[in-house]
Amino acid sequence: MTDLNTYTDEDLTGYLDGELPQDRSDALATALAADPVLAARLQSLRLPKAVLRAGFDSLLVAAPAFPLSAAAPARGLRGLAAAVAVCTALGAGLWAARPQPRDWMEYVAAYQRLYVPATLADIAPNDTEASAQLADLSQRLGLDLADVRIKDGWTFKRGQVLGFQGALLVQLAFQTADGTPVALCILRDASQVAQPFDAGQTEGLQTVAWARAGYGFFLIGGTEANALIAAAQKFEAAI
Amino acid sequence: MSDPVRDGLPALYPRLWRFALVISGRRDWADDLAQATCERALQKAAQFTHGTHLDRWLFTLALSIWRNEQRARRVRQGSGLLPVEDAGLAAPGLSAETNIFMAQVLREVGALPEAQRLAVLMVYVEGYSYRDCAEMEGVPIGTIMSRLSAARARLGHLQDGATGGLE
Repeated sequence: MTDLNTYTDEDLTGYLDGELPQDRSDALATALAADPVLAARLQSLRLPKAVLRAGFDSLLVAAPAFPLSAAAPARGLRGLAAAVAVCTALGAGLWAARPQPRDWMEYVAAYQRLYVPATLADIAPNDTEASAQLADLSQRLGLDLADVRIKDGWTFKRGQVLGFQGALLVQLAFQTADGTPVALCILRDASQVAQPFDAGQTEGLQTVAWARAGYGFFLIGGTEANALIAAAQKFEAAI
Repeated sequence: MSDPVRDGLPALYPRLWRFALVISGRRDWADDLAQATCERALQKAAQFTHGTHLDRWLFTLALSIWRNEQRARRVRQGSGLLPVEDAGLAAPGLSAETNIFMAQVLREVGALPEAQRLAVLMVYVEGYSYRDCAEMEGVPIGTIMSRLSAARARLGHLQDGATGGLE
């Protein structure tokens, strides 16, 4: 018969992990209360598990991207998957070469990705309301936004006051003729210096970024690069 | 038609890679092993039982590939040092001290014998029960308990650096 007063390190480990049978666990708890030496042994086996888990979870971020080729459904698609992988790699390289910082734009892009046609469908300000909104935003920003409504085929839907790290961020939401949501975001930030138009893609959406002294501009939405660049030029001229 | 293996693989890939890193102890081997496991999983997808745990199936598969590889090539077991320095370790929201301590904990777990560090990963990080872990590794439950107990004994000195709770 096992000596019930003898506990191994395995028992203590099972106890700490909640893996001992109930009767054994109860008996050990009683023994621990009465036996400081046993309690000290238990104490010496304890681990900083939360830190351990946080450390291992940080490794998840370091994992390489899922290899697309591994999941190609058929041999014929492997070439395509490889091509996609190459394009993605190239895109990543271009992205890395862009001027920093772009971080406010990344937040905007993540937000814009949640927009669907229905988000703006029911928002229909009349002329007076739209003018009042734009006048208010113009005053806050110190830029004249009155002319942004005049855009071929695009409907001005809403202007919102947002913020990024203490800086004023204004979002002007538009809907194109086919219902695609597009946003022009303007960050008032003293550190901005003039930057030419820079077209790209983020979160699966077309983007154009530019800046002038004190203001960063970011136009995002849809998938048509040329239309967005043309719109960016018109906005830059109108504001 | 939906394919639970193909559909489930991308989301599980980071955990699979971490598993591969822990058993191989080397980043380049982990990359290869994780990818080989995906390919094997897709080949054997028909053998996966719908409704069971894909993660456990993948880990078992990875372990079997690794064991065969070790036998075939007689590769030395990984040096056991998890390559944490280049793993983007710093966790946002934690103090610098905590991040340094976290790196130390990872290194020391990485320095354990393979069977022990694997048990630590599976039970303390992945959260499997002793029984699940034993089934995946094909060993008795008592063996898992012994490995964890040995790991706890060797890692006990980490308590000195711990500011938070001990379990």
